[in-house]
Amino acid sequence: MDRLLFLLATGLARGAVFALFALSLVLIWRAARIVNFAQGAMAVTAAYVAFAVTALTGSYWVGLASGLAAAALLGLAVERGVMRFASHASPLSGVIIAIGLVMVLQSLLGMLAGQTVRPMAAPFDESPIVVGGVPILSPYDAFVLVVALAVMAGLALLFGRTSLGLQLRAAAFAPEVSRLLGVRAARMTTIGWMLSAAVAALAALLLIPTELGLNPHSTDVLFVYAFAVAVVGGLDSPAGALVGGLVVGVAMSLVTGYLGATVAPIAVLVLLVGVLLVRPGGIFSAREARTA
Amino acid sequence: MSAAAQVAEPGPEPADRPAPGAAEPAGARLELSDLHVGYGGAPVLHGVDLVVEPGGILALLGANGAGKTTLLRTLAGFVRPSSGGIRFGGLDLAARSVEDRARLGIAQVPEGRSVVAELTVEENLRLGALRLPRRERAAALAGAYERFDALARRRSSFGHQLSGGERQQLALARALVTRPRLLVLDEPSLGLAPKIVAQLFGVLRDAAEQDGLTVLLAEQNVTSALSIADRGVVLHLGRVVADRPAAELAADPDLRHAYLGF
Repeated sequence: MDRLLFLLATGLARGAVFALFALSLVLIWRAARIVNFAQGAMAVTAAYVAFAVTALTGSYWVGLASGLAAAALLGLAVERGVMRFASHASPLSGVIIAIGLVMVLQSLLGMLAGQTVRPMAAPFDESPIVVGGVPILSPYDAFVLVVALAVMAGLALLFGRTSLGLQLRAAAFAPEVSRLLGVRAARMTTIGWMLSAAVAALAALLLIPTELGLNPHSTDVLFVYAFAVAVVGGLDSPAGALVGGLVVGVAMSLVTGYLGATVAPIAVLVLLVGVLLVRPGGIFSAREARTA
Repeated sequence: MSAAAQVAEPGPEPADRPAPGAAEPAGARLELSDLHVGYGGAPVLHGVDLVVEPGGILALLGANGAGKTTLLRTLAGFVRPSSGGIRFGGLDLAARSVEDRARLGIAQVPEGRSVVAELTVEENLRLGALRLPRRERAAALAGAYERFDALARRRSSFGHQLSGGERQQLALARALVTRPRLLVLDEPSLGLAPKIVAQLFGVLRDAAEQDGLTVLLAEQNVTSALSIADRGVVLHLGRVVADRPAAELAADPDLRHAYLGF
């Protein structure tokens, strides 16, 4: 029972990070109808910036802020410099450009920083707190959980309660109609990319210190899991990303705890295949339109 | 310049139009002069001249393929003319982007009940009200609900949950919420029940008469359109073949038969 509680708690913390990363994929999908396969590479690039700034200043927090700012700028550069010119007629063009970006970014990082896995320091203790003899979450896991949930709540507020959020949603769903109402749809798409890149970088920065380590390929696995989460939840659905992330995180934690770490990726893929067979659009996939 | 139409690039940032309440006429004059537009070398509009006076309703009539939608998309800024001019309220629109034209007070209701299906009725209206001063937005939404009580009952429904008539009401209500100086509608009656069409056209008539709004109404429903319009322009194969008072057009059987098919 103690073990189950521990696995559930750590699974929730890990799942919140998956949810965050999946949410970043959902944001871009909704804004530009592109599955951004470069999201992981962009996030790890930002993580290197955070690593360098932390090393320079000695402050985790300054490094974190710099990493997020770098991610937003990278999101802007990718959207304005590359993705804006992708053909909208074929979803493949965006995918191919994204895969090309992965190769470019990871090669550049490899050349500049090498392939060595570098440890990144966590700002809080990573050993579990024991409550009544039962190990629950470490202070760092609690921090990860709180930050991830707070960011998701913040995004929900942004999109649900603010004029900017309304314009972001409108521009994503109906760019032409939005433009006719004076909404600068292209600017909204850019903001969506910047926001999404920063959210993905945050997810990576939360997971790198304890699970991934830092090298140019650190986020490959995170991307795969988060992509599975986004598809399981429904690529159009932020709620799906949240629920899917938590489900996948807890499932992975339980499978790792009881069956071994090597079985966990298989469990995620089984879940993905199962959901796609039963509900191809994802569990929280969008509505059916009224036709009369 | 090539005759091919091009997608318009964003123009320079304009100053937004004066705030509602400032001294300005509600409607503004629209003038198209010698407008030539085409797609990929195939000309669609051949030297169209057209004037919509402030506070008037102009019915733009013509069969399918006459060039009505191309003219409206050019006016919106989605298509760039190969030659000719568009002036609105004294301003040249040539270098203005789609967004800038909207901010100058041109509201378009494109064909196909273009609500944002993933947003609620309330959110669609809020989207229309975004350019208004914050303190005036609630009143603008209240006005829309007063005009269209069906929308008031469905304010929390998503666009995709509405009937065709409700969607067209929402599209028109959202355009009016922007407090436009020129309202442009493309086939608003298409596929709607006569009762709904009568309601929509009644709202248009009121908006022009009471608020001084300028309206450009592209329609195939000739009888309904001419019943509320001051003038009618008949477009045939990209050329203006008649520009007369609406009552005169409605009473000309030869013209109706030759160009409008009834």
